[in-house]
Amino acid sequence: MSAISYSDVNADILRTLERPKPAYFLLLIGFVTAFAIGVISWAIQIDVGLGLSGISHPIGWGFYITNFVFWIGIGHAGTLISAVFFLTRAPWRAPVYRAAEAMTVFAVMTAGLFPLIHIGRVWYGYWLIPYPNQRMLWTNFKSPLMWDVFAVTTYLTISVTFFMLGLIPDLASMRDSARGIRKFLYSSLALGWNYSYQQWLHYARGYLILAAFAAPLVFSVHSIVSWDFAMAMIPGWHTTIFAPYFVAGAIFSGLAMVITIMVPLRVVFDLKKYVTDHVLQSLARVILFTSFIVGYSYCTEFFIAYYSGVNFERAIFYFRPFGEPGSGLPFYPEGQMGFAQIAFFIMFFCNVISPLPLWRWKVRNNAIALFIISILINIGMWFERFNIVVSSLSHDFNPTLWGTYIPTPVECGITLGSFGFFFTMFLLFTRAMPTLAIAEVKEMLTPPYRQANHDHVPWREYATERSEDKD
Amino acid sequence: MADGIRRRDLFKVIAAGGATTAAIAACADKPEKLIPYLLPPENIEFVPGMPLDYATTCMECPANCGMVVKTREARAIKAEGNPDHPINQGALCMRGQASVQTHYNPARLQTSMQRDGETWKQIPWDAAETAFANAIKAVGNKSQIVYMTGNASGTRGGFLDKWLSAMGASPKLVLDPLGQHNIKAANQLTFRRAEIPQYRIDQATLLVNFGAEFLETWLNPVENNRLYTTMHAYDDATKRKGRFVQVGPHVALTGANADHWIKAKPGSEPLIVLALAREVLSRTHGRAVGADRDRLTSYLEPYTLERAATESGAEAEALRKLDDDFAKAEPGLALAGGNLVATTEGTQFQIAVNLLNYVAGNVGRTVLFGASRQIDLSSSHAEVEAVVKRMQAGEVKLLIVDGANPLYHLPASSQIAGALDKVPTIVSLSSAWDETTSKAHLVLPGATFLERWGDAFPQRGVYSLVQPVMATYYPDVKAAEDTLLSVSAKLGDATFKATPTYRDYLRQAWQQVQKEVGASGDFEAFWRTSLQKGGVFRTVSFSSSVRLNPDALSGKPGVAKIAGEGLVLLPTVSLRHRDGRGASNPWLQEICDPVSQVVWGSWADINPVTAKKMGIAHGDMLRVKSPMGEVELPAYLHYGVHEDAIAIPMGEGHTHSGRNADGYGINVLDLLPNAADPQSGEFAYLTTRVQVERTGKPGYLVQLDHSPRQLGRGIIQTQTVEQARAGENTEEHDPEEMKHGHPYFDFYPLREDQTPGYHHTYRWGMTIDTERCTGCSACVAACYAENNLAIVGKTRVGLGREMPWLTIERFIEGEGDSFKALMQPMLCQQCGNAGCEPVCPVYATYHNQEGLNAQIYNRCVGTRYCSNNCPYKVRRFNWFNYEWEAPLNMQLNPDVTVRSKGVMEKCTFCVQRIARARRTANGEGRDLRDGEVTPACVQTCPTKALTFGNLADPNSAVSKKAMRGRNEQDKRVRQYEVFPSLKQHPAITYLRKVTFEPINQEA
Amino acid sequence: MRKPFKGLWASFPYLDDAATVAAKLQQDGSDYSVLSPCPRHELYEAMGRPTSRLPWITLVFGALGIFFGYGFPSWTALDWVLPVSQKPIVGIPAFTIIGFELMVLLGGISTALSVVLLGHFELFRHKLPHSPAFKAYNRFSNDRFGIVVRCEEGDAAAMEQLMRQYSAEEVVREF
Repeated sequence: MSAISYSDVNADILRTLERPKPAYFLLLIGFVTAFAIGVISWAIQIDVGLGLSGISHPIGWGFYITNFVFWIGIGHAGTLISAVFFLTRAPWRAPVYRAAEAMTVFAVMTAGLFPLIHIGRVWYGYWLIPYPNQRMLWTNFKSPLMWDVFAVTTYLTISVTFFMLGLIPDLASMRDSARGIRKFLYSSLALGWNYSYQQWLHYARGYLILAAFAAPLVFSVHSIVSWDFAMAMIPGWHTTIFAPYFVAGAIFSGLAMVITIMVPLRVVFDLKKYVTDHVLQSLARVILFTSFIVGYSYCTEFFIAYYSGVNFERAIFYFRPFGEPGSGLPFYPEGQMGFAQIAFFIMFFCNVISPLPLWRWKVRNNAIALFIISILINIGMWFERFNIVVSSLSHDFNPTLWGTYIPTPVECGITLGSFGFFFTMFLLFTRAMPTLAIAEVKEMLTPPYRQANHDHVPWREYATERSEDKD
Repeated sequence: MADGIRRRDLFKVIAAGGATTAAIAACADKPEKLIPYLLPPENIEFVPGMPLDYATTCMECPANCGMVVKTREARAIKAEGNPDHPINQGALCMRGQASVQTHYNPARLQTSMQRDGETWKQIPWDAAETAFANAIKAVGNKSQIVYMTGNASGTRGGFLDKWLSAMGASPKLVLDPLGQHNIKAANQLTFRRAEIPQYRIDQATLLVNFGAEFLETWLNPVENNRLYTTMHAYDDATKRKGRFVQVGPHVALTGANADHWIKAKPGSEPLIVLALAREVLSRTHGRAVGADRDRLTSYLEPYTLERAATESGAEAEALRKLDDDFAKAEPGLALAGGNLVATTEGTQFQIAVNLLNYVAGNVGRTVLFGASRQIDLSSSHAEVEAVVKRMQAGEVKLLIVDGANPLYHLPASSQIAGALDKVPTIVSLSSAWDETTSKAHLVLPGATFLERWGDAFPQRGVYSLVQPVMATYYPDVKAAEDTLLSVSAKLGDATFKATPTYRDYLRQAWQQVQKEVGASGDFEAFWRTSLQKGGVFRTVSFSSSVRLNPDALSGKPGVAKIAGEGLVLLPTVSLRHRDGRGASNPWLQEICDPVSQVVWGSWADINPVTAKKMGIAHGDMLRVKSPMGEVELPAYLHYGVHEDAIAIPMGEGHTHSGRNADGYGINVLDLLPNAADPQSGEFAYLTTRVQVERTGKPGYLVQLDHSPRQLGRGIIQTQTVEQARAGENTEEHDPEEMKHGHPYFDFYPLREDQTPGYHHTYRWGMTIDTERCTGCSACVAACYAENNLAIVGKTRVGLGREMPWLTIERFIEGEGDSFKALMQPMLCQQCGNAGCEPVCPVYATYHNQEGLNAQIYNRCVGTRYCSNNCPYKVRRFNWFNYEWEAPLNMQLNPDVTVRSKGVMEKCTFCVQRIARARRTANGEGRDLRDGEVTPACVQTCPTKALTFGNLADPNSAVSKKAMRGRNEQDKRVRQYEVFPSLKQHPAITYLRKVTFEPINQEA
Repeated sequence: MRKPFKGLWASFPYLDDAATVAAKLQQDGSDYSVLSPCPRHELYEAMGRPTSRLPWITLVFGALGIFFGYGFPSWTALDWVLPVSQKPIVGIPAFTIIGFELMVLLGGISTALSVVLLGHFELFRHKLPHSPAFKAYNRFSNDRFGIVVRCEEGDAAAMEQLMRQYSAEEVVREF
């Protein structure tokens, strides 16, 4: 990247904020419509009742919780890249992390909607918040759902903070170049950032600490989400591998979504020289890795179900791939395939088989191939969550009260709406903020030196140790 | 305003009476005086919010059980059995429980109407009566007036006869397709006693049943259930258990309870009966029959066991074993009824059964005559048919229907439809819309039996009273009897001058009763106490010595002739709708048939083997064709039906009985020929074969069960009678473990110190004896009635959104003819270590001090996590705001919240009843006594399979049954909890079913 | 109270020059600030590896979070005892999650806020020019390094000479 100078960076990135192509608006309209469909479907559901969704007895959780887990999972890549890879000093992080962080924020916002959508009396949703009410009746902190409330809100707050903190210097540099109302907005958001080193000092330190906080959060949040299931006694839920299994899955799907977003982005804004193939390739490597963890977890589940010898466990893991258990009764056909089996096989193909081509360098370096695989992975991961949530519930302890799942238009509409919401937010973001971190990209460039020879460090002769705190 | 009026009627209604079972005064006339609700007059024991109970008699079926109806603010809200009543002893069947819905039936006739053309014109009541009177006047030849009623119990029959003769009309017809004329005729022929004997099932040690659905509808099912379990259920103390063998082509609820099912060709059973008689006779050397021995021997000669076996297709071995047992039985009992005797040789069949009982010496021991049971007062099919013929001939000018529905209850082949069209005037005194009333010209709506006076004499010594428990719900509604009385008055007839109202007539009749029972004192006191008790109950001894009538041996019963091609059509009597009355009660539609688990509609039981041959799959839509007609209904693959037969339940397929009945299922009577048994005149509905074919359409069959197998999960456990007698608990437990208060070792022992407020004074618990449970589903209906459970309809049940808190679970073990259908109630287990509680984020469910999983509806936000985490899946979620179609909402129990959309609900052992009882106890400054609280399900169980009480008290009945290790001598034999490995510590202990042959429950 | 800015500022196209100047100023112990488009270790070294007080703030708030995370649920559980399925009323393992989340929450927010606030407090100690010229100059956010020196008019000449010596692009005196 030595070819690029500091001023190029500003030029290139600020250019992305200029008037977009009409294609942009077409996309925007599309996603806004999808969002609108979702909103209307939800309104109808609130009015008529949850019976409009495919959820029923005994399957108390369906599409909505599936979507919740799916979006939370998407929301993991951003913080993973920006925090964990910041701490590990991954060289390819800088160009992708801003977009990834934005993705995280919007994904978590989307996810946050679903617990509300799925509860029976959304108008009392605020009862889930421990606030002092007339009777001083508090919430049950032993409930995994309560843990969720805290985990998700914390995660959202921290990722937003992290996001905004990273934005401050860039907002300042946009303030300097912008004029009119934009100038006012940016400068108010820049919080009076001047590039003095005293500020850089606290900034660097604070950013490091925040990263150190966010890193464990990445792993904790999805572990806690997984405990929603693992804490219940439903066969297929009640296992100890869920936390790592979910986290790996989350990173897996999240990074896939990053690729899904970055590939078109770098074309549209022609940022190829920053978001290089190398960057995508490194993402692909992590995807391949996590795909193997996920695949391994699938196998472990089956093995443990067999090895435990528990009737219920074995039954559910027989049911997932092979369908209804053998009964010897002519009116209860054995191996009857249904929603669960479809979900299972889609999941297995997309998450375990489809990433395998990434072993080849050629595929990893081919943006199109990566894009396709990433889409497959997103689909697969959605079905993984569906498989976990629904098929386990449909065949639990009491065989006479087993059930099947029939999706309905309303819940499909709401699911569509969630994608609409997410991409609308992201598109707006690309217009309003730099999709690449200007300052951090500059950090990676070779700084302008008068002496060509970089080993010549004149300041070393004068440099003296001192502490800011001496006065 | 209407409310106000009814409320004021209340004070007339309860003008007198005791607090708990109150007697009441006449309510025929409307009150004049306005009484403010807030200050009730002194002479009325009425406290707003306190229930008032009225003793009366159930009129849902001819069995006439005693009933206590609970009213709140002048609304009948719950029907329960009358504990003082000798026949049902406090229990009710599901139809009895649902009688309040008959009362609040949305399809009730609300006002007097006159037909003009195709539409109805509302006319004032008086005008309607005048029109009625004129209609009678108009008929020249008064014998052309015909009166059809559905009920002639007690005094009513006599009253109708008197009224009709006064009018000069032809004698009344009492319609009931399920009469018992065969039994009467047979007994007349065999023993010269034209009556229904008392079957002392409880006395028998072996019960052989030929098709009588005695646990469902036959005679008095509530009584039968009680007697049957007394005989059959394993008794832990005496270690005795009776045997019950079912012979016949079909297994419904009754058959499912049998220890052994001998499959026989439909119509061939008489041969088996006689073969048994023959063998028993030869084994016992005719000990029982004395002089009749030779006559019988020669008569029974041709009926060899081999012949029976070959002709019926039953294994000879099984038959031999059976007659062996029957000969040994001390005593045994053979029953026949239901569709098996509904052939044209039904009487011969019953005679054969009589002979069997006679030669085995059961007559006088388990078959008692002289009880003069009035369970069937119906006119024979022959009589009805004669009248239908007269109608067709246009010899009937005026037809009065009153609770009778000939258009539905007579087979289409009887041409009843055409016959009705020929009748110029039809007057309906029925209380609700039905097929016949929809054809009427004049309607004077009758009152339901909760609004009118009446009585019933089910058997000798039992005089049961019917009294209004509330004023007529609609102002323009009047008891049929009173209508008749005022009409006769209008016609200037003097017969009833002394008794202007039916109440007066009844009182007059009961002065006679007072004499009969020899009650001294003045009549008023007698009347008052009778009303309070719900009648007069005397134990009368009667001689039942009978001798065999040689003429009985004239017949030569063989295999009943069943005409036509294809499969034999077995119309079965529906447990839920009987012959079709009460089909408009949503409860009875939505509570599943326990064996098939089907709701809302008809199905056709067909044997899997036959189905395979015909390429029929479960749920396929079938076209069933007979010479008389054809119907379409879904197939139900069922091992419990003969390969050569197809069984279809009665009672569905209404067209004008309100939207809860119309359009659901089909009326099997449409397929039947208009046949009758020549000897008894009984309607013969097992007389035709039908062509069955697939329509190719998928049938819409909604079942509550998903997997019929329990996959070795030990939900319904069984053990053999040997194991039970040996006192071995089929799951072995280390006595050390028993010390935990439950038999399963806890890795983390209970930390009650950590959870303050646990189980103060009470730990409510229940035991369910699956050995006693016959699956009659009365408890389910009771739960619906007590707890305002919503009715969701067929499609929503199909999606798994049914709302029962208590369901009868059915699992099938084994295959082919040796299959076994196990049933047991499943309800909230009120776990001590419940999965549902900790997962609720808002404490909407928690463990209260009395050990209940309290469910706080108004705190619930509806995450449904609790339901997911409930291994028994007994929690129900309100997917919508469910509505109670008016006036069904009047039945809602004010003590129980009506749950709104988005809220989880579940059983809490009828916590409202616990609270009410505790209030009383606290008022008296004491703790609750054992048995003082009974949840609705426990209260109505005819077989006492459920026991409820305080587990914290080691001496309570429930603790003694549950054997939770609190008593030193506790030794668990049949006790088990469901899913013990999940460590939920359920408060419900099940008692294993005891079987003669071991039942393989491996996965 | 606001002392008017006294001193001069210069912009450098090259990082090594700016760093050397900074190092010299640091050595002389004169009151200066460095401006740069992005943090660079060269400047950091030149300025003698200054440190920040910020981690202490984070520590305090993080600890506070943990305390509330355990304290609040325990108090609410005891305030109105509602037993759920034989779980201990005060379930420490369950509350650990709340504790962790609140630690991250408070710690994180406090960190972000103190980054901004501390950055502003620095301005009281190390003033920047208020002149329109300085405000109008927006290349520090782009590709120029800046050095601001607060000094008396007397030393100005020496200072400017130092800047120029390291090829300062432009030097502006403000008195």
